[in-house]
Amino acid sequence: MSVTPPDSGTTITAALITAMHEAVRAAAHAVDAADLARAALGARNLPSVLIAFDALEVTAETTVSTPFGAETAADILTNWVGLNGFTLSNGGAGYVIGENWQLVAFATIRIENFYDLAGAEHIMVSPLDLDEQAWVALTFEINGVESVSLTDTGFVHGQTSYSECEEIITIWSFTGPYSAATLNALRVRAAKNYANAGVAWNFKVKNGFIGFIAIPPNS
Amino acid sequence: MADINAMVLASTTVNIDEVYSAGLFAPQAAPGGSLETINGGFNKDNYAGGNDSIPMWAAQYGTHACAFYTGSFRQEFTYALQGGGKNKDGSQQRTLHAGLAQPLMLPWAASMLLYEWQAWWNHDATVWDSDGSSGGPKKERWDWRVQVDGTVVQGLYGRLPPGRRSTSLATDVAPAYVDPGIHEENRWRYTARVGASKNVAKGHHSVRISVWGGIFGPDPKLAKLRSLSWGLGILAIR
Repeated sequence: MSVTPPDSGTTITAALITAMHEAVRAAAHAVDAADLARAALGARNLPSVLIAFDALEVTAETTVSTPFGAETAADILTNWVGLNGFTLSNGGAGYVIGENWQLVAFATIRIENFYDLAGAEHIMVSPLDLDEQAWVALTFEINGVESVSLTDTGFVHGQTSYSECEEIITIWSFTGPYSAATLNALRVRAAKNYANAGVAWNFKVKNGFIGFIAIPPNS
Repeated sequence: MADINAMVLASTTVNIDEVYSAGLFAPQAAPGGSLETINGGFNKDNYAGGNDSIPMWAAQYGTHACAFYTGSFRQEFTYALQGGGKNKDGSQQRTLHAGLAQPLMLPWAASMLLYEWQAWWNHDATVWDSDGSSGGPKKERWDWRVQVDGTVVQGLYGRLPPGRRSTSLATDVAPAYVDPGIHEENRWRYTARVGASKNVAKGHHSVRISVWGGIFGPDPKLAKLRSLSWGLGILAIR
């Protein structure tokens, strides 16, 4: 489908111009009318579909001592603590979401250990048992209103005789479509559950990643 | 495709104005009157419908995204001795997990490069002096690092915890030495992590995961990290 221009140095004539036009015309006519896009439209002449996206690596650790109340959205949003660093907000400006866009969001959280407060990291004679739980949830704040789905939560539990937990919780969330809005922030909230009698304990989140992409509608 | 008329020039010499209006640009002309018809004059068969958008399926494959995957159920073994020997604080010779490594070539700059990997790990790691009688427990562990284009992603660093105990030191000899037994299965880990890079240049890139064992003994040749199944997926989006 190439068009051959006159050689450099050649005198341009009306005949050469009409010949070039004829070549362009023939090339355009050669494109299958019913399949023009597949034949001609690629990365070089179509824009990206990805308009709103962001991701953040988190290396700041957080000690979680906030008690869990219930496995409900209300409790998550009211009582669970926001994890240090696990907030995506575009510097507070948020992200513009178009009509009927959908969000694919993710968070991966490393729960390092459980430890009692009496003696720093407790060692081998554990006062804890199998029922200590570390809970996390991925939340969305849209148009100033934070919400969470219970499918975007996860937890791990402690274990007798070991303070090291070393469990990974990874959450993928698919939500939408949304009306045109501002995604103010993505957050990860966390809480501990199960109060072993007489033992104050916490758990530590060591690192992780949080991010999202916004997908425009198909048509 | 809308039909484009042949160009007819009345002048025998080149007249720029005539060339322009007779063939290149004449938006007010009848359809097909100039090459301007290419700009928005396509056949409606190429449109998705009422809003004249182009459907995603109509674009060439790989226009907006491309993906890479490596994974297997083939077991891979890494022994602690490969990582530098007995000394936890000694030199680390990290071992590349051959299965969790993927080179990739992006034909265009990507807005977002998503990478997720999963693995089911079975490992050996002990807590020595678990009763603390010799100055406190000595804990072994394995760890992994994720490298994107050779740079460690600290936010995805992680460890595999010890899962068996001995009241003796690793350096004790019989009869003081107490065998830690086999590693507890509930201390093995299934790991799934995801990370991303933004505004990645076109060209060659790599995502690699390496492992290392902080094993004191008694025999690093026997302490191993076994991955039973694993996969690494990478999605690049323009």
